[in-house]
Amino acid sequence: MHDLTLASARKALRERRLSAIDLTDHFLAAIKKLDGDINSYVTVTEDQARAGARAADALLATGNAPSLCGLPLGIKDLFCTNGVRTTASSNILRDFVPPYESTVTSNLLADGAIFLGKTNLDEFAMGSTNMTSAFGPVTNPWRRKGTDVSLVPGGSSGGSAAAVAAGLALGTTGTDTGGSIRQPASYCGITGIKPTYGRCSRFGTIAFASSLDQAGPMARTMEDCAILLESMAGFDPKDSTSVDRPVPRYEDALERGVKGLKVGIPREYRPDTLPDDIAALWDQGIAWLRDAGAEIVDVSLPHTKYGLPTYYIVALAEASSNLARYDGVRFGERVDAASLDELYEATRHAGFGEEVRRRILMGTYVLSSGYYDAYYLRAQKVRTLIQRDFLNAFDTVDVLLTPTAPSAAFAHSERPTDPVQIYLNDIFTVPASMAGVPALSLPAGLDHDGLPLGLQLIGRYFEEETLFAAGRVMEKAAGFTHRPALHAGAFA
Amino acid sequence: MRQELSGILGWVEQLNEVDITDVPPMIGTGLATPRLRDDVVTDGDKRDAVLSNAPDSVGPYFTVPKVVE
Repeated sequence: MHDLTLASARKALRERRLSAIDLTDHFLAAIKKLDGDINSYVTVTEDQARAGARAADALLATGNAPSLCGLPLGIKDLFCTNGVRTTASSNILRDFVPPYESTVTSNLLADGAIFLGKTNLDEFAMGSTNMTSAFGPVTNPWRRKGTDVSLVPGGSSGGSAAAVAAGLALGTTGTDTGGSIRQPASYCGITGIKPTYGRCSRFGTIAFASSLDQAGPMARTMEDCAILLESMAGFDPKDSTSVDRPVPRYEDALERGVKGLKVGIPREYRPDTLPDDIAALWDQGIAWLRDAGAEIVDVSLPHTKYGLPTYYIVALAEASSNLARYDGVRFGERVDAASLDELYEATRHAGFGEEVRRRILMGTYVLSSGYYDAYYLRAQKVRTLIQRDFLNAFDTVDVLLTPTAPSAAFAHSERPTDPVQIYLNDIFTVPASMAGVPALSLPAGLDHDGLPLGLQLIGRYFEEETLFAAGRVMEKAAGFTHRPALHAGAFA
Repeated sequence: MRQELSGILGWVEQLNEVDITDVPPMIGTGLATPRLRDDVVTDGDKRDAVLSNAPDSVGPYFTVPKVVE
């Protein structure tokens, strides 16, 4: 059962070779055994999962089961789940129990999915190491060859990535604001896709930067991600930026191939500092696509280097506004004080961790009168130039191929102390977020330490199908079947 | 923290070298069509749900320390 993909589990459930309750019990047992070491779950919903699995078995017996019937998933603890604690990995929401369901999770439930629990993340999705979580860091299931040094899983969807990699869920949901699905997918050797902005509803997903936040699936294979995205995506009147456009059956695009596809290789994604292993793997990826019939084209995205500083102005400005709601009055933690102002101050000081405080302060500063034009407005204009870079490139090519991250996973103890150095982890993922175009990361190989490395495919608006097709070609060529040191299967 | 914030601000200064003459600000992707809906109640009778996470409440009200003397 440890080697099941979501697609093979779905088949086994349909053919009644496997029951949903056995499958769910298997994952709950694996979590119990292994998650003490990994910490990928903040909350495990054992009773709900079992009840859901029994209901799924009843439905499967009728032969009329919905698409995800009986498939156990982990849900990033940023999606509000009705009656189940939702923390955003922050102390300020430590005991928050939403009385409603996010649209994405409600879509998954309607399709019969089973939720094993809520997965760990960087506090309010702000980080790329999962070390800012108020519920403790997550341990990457992978180890460098011959060492037991604990490594970060990436972030912010670090728990979601680690859970899939360690065999503690068939798939998970993530959210991606500047790389929070793709970078942890790369660090943990799994697949993850950030769809086009507006493809998945943001309703009920705790907001970080509203013009960038986008939900997406994380799983072992391209096929699994295609199955999950079809369920998660769709128009939602409750989100004003949701796009009213039919959701294709992404699975049908998987075997389209890349014959005649034009693949752009942006020269700005090859800085002098790019590690040799990553440069070599990127070249390998290019060769895989060329061998499968794609045409490789050199392209330029001239404003790439401005992506990160632009992101850190726009995202932090939006975050400072979004996080103003945590005031200790209507929900969340409160620290009592003599006056209302003191109550706000004490509540927010106690409730937010250091990185969140830093970002709120920065965001408030760049929006303040006198600095608004110099920082925020200028950044919004540079964002237009970054978007134009992609639109221009997509006049001549169909997809772009780049590395996902500038490094493999690093140790908790190697995390830089300078925030700017940490932000640089997202250098290759942020530009696509700024433009709102879809992008995925797939595990393409291992580095010299035996750690997974991801490659990123970026596509035109709403051309997720092209990404899945190209991704599937690369997945087959890569034949990535390596397993991390910490895996449910090793303890069976 | 003060030093780190100065560091971040120094780092974003590089945006000043970009020529933004006549470039409009990007407000969003522009993919979603702005839409209006009828001004009607689509939900309601959720008082208890709305109050269910209140740190402190009295009857149908959220409570805070006294504001007006």
